[in-house]
Amino acid sequence: MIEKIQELLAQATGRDAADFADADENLFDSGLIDSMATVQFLFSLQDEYDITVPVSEFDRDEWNTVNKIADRVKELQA
Amino acid sequence: MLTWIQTLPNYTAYGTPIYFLYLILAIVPLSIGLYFGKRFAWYEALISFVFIFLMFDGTSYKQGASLIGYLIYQTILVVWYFHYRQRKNSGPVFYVTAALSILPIVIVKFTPAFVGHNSLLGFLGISYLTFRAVGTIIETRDGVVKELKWWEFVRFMLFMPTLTSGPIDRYRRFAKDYKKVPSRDKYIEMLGKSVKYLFLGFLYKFVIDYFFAEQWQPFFERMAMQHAPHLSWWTVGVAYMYTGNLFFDFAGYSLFAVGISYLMGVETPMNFNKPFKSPNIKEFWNRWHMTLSFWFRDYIFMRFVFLATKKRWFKNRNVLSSIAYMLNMMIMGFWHGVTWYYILYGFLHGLALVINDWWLRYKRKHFKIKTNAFTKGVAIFITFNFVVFTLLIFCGFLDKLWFHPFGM
Amino acid sequence: MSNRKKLWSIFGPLIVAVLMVVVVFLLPWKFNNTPATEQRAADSLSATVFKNRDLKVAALSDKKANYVPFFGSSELARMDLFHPSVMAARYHDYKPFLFGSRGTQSLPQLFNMAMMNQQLKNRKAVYIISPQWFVKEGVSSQAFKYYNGNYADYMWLQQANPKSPYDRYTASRLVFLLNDQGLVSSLANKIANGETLSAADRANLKVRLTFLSHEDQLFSGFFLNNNYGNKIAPQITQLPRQYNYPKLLTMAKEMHAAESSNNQFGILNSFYDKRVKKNIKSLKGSQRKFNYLQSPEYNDLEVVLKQFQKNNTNVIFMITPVNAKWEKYTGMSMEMYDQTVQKIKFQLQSQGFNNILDYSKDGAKKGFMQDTIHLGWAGWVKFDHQVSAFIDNKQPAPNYKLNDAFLSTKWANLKPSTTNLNQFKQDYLTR
Repeated sequence: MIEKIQELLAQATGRDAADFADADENLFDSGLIDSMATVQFLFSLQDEYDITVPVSEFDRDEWNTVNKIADRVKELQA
Repeated sequence: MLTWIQTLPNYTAYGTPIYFLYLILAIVPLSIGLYFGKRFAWYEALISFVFIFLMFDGTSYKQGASLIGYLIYQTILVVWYFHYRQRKNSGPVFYVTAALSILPIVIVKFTPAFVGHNSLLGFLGISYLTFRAVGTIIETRDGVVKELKWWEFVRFMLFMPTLTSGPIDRYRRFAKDYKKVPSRDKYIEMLGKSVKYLFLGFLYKFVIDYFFAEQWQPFFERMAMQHAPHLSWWTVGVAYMYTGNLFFDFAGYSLFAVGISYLMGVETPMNFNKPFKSPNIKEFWNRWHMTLSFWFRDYIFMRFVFLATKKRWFKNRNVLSSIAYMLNMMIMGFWHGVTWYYILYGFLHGLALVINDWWLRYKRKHFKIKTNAFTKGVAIFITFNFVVFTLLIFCGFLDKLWFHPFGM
Repeated sequence: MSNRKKLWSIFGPLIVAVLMVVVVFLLPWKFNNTPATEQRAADSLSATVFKNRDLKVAALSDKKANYVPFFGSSELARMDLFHPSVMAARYHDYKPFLFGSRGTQSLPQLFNMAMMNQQLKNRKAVYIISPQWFVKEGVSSQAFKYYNGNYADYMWLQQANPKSPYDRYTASRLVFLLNDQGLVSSLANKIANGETLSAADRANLKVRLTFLSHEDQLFSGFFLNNNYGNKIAPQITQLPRQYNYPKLLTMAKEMHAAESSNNQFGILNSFYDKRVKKNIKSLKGSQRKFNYLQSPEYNDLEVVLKQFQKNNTNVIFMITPVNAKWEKYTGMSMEMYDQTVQKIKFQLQSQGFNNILDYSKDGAKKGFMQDTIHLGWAGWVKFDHQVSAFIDNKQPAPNYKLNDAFLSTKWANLKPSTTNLNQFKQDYLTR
């Protein structure tokens, strides 16, 4: 799942998947992802895992690393 | 009628050093309570009431009346919508509710442009209260506000330290803080931060800003006005002095609001984070008046992008992001007030964000330059000077210089 | 670290700092101002001196130095060789204490005076009136605030009498110009409504004044500019040793001719280059609509006159001229200017203020003006000649008869034709 998320992030931001290799790096603080790409990324997550993430639910502190995103996705799938 | 109210002394929030003495003395019992793990809700309501009363008595009593009316209106709207949303979730109802919530500020902002004087509905802080109310409605629609009681909402709206000028908190975050009492260790840590913030605020607002606001800016303005309606180097000076004045005034004020919130056991979010070291304009908006720009980001920009993507309005995502930036900043411009200079300010910032995005893409594709201290320095320099330039427009001095040089 | 220690590390420094501040401000410090500081203050033209008290009171109480207050506005900054401060240092045994710069019109001057009633009592003073003050809006709120401070406002509030129409008028102007919610505005509101200040209000003012006066004593002496050392002192010895009025006039005219050679208006070269040259085209005819006939400034002047009466100050007025060539070029109506002066003089003379130097017709004289509206060279020589005669010689005690009709909007807006003035006299001034 981690790898898939890294790939989706790369797609949404137009960067290399390698940029997201550190699964604990803060995506927002490091400037890897902006608001625009975030929305794109949420959509690809929805399609990929068949979940819905309301924008309000998207609390930046809870979604700011690859590992955390994986945890959230698992929660929403459950 | 009401003459006795008009003769009472009036204290704008954090206006003078002596204000802090009164305010902090009033908060001491509350702090002692928090230290021992108790939140004296009734006492807090009392001091909030007293200090809000002092902001709106004296000659501003009419504003006080508007505040009360406004608060009743918004509370009814929000509580009604919350109850409605528990049963149903219709799109049109949501849009109408949101529109009704924004209606008062739209009237207040458009009145001067059309009637030529300020609306009677207005009062100091109406914009900030609007953000809080509308934000709550939107989160209710999303179903993430799971409980809402009218008095808790009122307490959120009227939270004294941030009433008139922010920072703009969110209902869910505020309610979470409010329901619990910080642990003793945590509260001591908050006290430490509070003292630090308050003193940094004193330095900003009462020391540094004194020079910008009382000495330098008026001096440059007077010199620049001698060349009116022509531009001169003095006008450039006005731009820098106004930027300094605005930052130290507003950042100082925000530090006070956050510091006092911490004393009251509420972690109000920060408003500024060294904005002038931003290497690009996007970063600038992550550091300048943060609670406002994050509000716009979360409730306007992201939602617009979300909706547009869902409905596939635009094929090209770069077009979509450009439109979203322009929309976001133009609304921010109008929110400041319906005058040519606020709107132009919003427009320029929207445009800058679009160009900035384009440049970042272009750079990534075509150059392989590593960022170093020099490129970063250049980037910071350009960003800062662009901001100064737009703030010159924003401050309205050009309006005076060009169109009203004799004070009419 | 224990909690107690943590708390002490947070609040300890704070408590110590507060105690230190209270000690510094409440201990009765008394620094004697040196004559040199007084001299600097007298020529500084600074807003700090204007808004505070310590330096001006010290200087004006200094019997040995013999300072005489000169109230005015921007012309005081024209510190050429014949400026009254230079002339006095060379030829007279008094020293001007200059109050005013751009924007210090009557109302700012009133608050300035309210801080030194004792020093003005039964003394002589000079008051320079510029007809340019009398614009439709009167003093601008911006300029007023620049020269107004809490210290003066509190002192004025302490002496304000809610029964006096003059003080009620001043109070309402103060509220209008400050346009804020502070203590001053709320107390001034009371005075304007004819209410007496409560004992609590007075106590509040007293405490604040204590702080401000200590602050003033501690800090006002710093940051004084050195106009005296830089501009006044070096010129003193350039004046001839012996006072000779005709000779000085000739000298002034010669200097004027040499220093205003680059333009047709007789304006100081540097002023012309910096302020006029670039816009010369657009300035032509630019003052055609200027009008000083109707202005709240007339009412503001009246409260200043009242203050002179209260203090029994023997005051000589000077009404400033404008550069005739310049006004012709910019199209200002000299008829309007003369009428303005007539109205001002009517207000002064009908209340017993008879020492008036009317220079309004001297704007075409050779070397009289330094720039567009400010006196210089020969103008200063004449001014100094007449003012020193007033100050050096014993004068009959003043006999002022104030009339509050001059506080009315009717007066402010009266067009000063001879008929109108006569009518006004009949309606209000003959009882």
